Amino acid sequence: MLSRFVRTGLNSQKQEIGAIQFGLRSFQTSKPSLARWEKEQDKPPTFKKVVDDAATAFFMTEIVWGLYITMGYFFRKKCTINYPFEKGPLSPRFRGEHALRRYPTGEERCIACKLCEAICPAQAITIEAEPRQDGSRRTTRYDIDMTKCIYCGFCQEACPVDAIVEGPNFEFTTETRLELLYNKEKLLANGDRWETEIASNIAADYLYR
Amino acid sequence: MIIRFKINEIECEVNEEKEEMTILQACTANGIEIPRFCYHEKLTIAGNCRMCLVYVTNEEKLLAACGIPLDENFDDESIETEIDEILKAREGVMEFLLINHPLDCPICDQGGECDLQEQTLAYGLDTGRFYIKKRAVEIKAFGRLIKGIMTRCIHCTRCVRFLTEIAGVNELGVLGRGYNMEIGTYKKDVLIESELSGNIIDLCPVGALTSAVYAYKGRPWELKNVKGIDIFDSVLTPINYQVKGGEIFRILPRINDRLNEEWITDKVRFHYESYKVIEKLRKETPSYKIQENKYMELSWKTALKIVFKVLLNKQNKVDVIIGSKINTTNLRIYKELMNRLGSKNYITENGLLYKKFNYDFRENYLNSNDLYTVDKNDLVLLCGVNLRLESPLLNIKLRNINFGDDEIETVKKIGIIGNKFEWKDESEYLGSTVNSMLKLFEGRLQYCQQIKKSKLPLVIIGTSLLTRVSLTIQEIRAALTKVSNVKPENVVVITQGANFGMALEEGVFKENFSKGGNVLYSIDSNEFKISENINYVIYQGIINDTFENKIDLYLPSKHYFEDFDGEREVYINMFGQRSEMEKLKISKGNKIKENSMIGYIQLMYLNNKEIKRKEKEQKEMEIRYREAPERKIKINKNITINNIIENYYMTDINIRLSKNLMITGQNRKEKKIIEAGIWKNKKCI
Repeated sequence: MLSRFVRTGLNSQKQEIGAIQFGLRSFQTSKPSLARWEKEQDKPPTFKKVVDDAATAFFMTEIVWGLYITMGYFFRKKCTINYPFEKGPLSPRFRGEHALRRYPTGEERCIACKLCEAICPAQAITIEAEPRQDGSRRTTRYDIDMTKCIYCGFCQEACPVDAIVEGPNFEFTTETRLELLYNKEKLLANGDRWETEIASNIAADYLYR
Repeated sequence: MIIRFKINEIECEVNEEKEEMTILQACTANGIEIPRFCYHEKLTIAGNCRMCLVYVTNEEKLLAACGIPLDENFDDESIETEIDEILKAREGVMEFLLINHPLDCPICDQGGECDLQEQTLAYGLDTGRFYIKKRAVEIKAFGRLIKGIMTRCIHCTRCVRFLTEIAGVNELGVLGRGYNMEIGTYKKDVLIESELSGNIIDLCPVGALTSAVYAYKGRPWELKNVKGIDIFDSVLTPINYQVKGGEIFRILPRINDRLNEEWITDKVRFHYESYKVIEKLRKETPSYKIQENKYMELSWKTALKIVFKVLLNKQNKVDVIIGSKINTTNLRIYKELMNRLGSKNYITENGLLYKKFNYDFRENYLNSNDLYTVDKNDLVLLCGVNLRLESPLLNIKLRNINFGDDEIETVKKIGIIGNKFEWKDESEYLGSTVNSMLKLFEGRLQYCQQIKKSKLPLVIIGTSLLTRVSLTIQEIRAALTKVSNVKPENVVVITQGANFGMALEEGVFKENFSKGGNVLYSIDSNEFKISENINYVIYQGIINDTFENKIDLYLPSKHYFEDFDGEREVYINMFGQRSEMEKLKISKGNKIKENSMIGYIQLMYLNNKEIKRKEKEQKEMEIRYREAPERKIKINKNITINNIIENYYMTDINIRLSKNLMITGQNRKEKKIIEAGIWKNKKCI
């Protein structure tokens, strides 16, 4: 607001002054210098520069400095890991592959409340539900399109029963796209496979949820 | 007296003599929203939820806005709805309501459209302070249609008030007090015997009463509304189909103050179950009968060739019976088709009931009085009509005339001729036979004196009277106007079927139809018996259960809401009002065709063939005028005027195929103790 006000004020002044302003400006402006873009090499060398260059070349200071750094890394502890056999540490909040969890009794947790479907910004989740034989509310279909998913983790935050979670697994590349369309079976299998890790992650993070 | 007051600094005026208003109504009229649970526009005021408290100057306590009328005490006062005191009071009320409300929103079907959820968000406290045990109430069985999880109940008593006041059954009530208060039936496991019981699902502000058919299937935010109309009734109530992915998830009423207010019948509300069943059962290709119970599949081309062969055969006389759901475009097409073939044997399914019907005058089948002003009538005479079954929504309007008549000075009376049906105590029963009807015309009954006294009587005539007795509407009208001062527009004729009015408007009717031809072409029509003359049956429609074995050629067609060009289709209800329907697609078979499509193909074919000769004949036929012979009325006086509908839950194929409606129908008939399916099982929560 303020800047706009100032600008309009200036404009009005300019309008008042009119021709004079134009005249002044035409005197003040000059051709922009290209000094910034000229290379130093093209300049005539000064005496100081000549001496400095000769000294560094003679004593090989750059090479010595480079060798010093390499030797330093040579004796330091290595930070690369042997990837498929060794893996780096992961935060308990890491958002990897999805999984549907079960209760210790073996009963699936998901109650088909459809909150994850509603909150999913990429609309990757589709759920269909029906009363099960015993009258409880369960999904008949729970699909996640992993190609759509943006791994934002909203689904696990929306879930009231901690059923859908993003587990620690990040290695689920496939050869075809079709394999990335997860259904309920696949998700529950994921849950069974990663249950210990997921449970420990949730336990580690419970204070902040 | 004109009362002037302020609501939140907005100056308002109410003329006390013209309109009676409560504080809440005045607030909503001025665009100020007041939260409420127990208050509902169409029900009486209970004032037990205390959510609508407002502050009024010069009053010691906060007032419940829903129950307090604006009178002269409010002159020059100011009403406050947003001050801190009110906000605190609302928080308090919310806290008390939530003490015993379970935290099962994720599995509750009301989630997303729950008043308690929304108002807790808007007016509630952010944390709970109660860590005592919550109480739990037994799950109650209200039949196959309604699921009652009464732990969620907040005792607003909307359901109780609806059933007693509007539906007229006293099955639900409040039991116990305070902590032990429960909503329930007085006896255990009693059916709610009302055709409108499903409306308490909509009324319930929480998830205590939810639809058992819709249970756990959808969420309100993922469903799309498609406008439709209730075609089981000739009132043509506006409804909304709630659809997701080519499947109807549930059906809700559309509000129309003149017709249905906010209610719809159970029939419409729960019939959508059948569409899934139909999808499984129906054949997707035309089929041809080879032997008994053996059918051969045909392509459409050959099937239509057979149709033409049959229709154009000179020895055949073709009868066309059009189903009650068929829409206007199709009525026109098939009338045109039959006209071009040179025969006039077309009729709608409901037209079959009448031997004679004078449809030259519109007043005979379209009523100008839609019972909106029924409050002004001081006497109602029901002739051969079981309103409760024939049109439950009109029944509601009539029931509400003398509700709370202790305060009204002029005693209103209701007379019933015909079958007795459950009505209020004030009604007078005049007899079941035609004889009593004739006595009434002659003025021999005691009741006639009351009719003469009344200034604005209303007479409602049912289909059973017109079909069983050989009197026409005009004759009845004339006789009634002689006896009393009934205005002709106050004689209301209740017709059956969604398209009956439109069919008569288009002229799709034939007198003495049953003496017709030998070939039957039924277009989505099930509810009749095939006469013995007929030796060839073409059925074009969805599915048939009444004469399934007699069909010789079957042509699959689409549902009535898929079956028109353009986006909308117009029906006309029995009051001559226009009601619109939007297109909805749910059929999955590729080879199923629209009725209109089949009709157009036939018309195209006929244009080319030997039609010109027949058109000539037809023109000659049209020129011949009929001279109306004077007829002597012979009436069998001992005919009883029975119900035209025997079982409310058997009238249509869609209802017969939806399981839960069928079972409730059977249970109501046999007065069984109900089985509530899996919902009675307490494991489910």
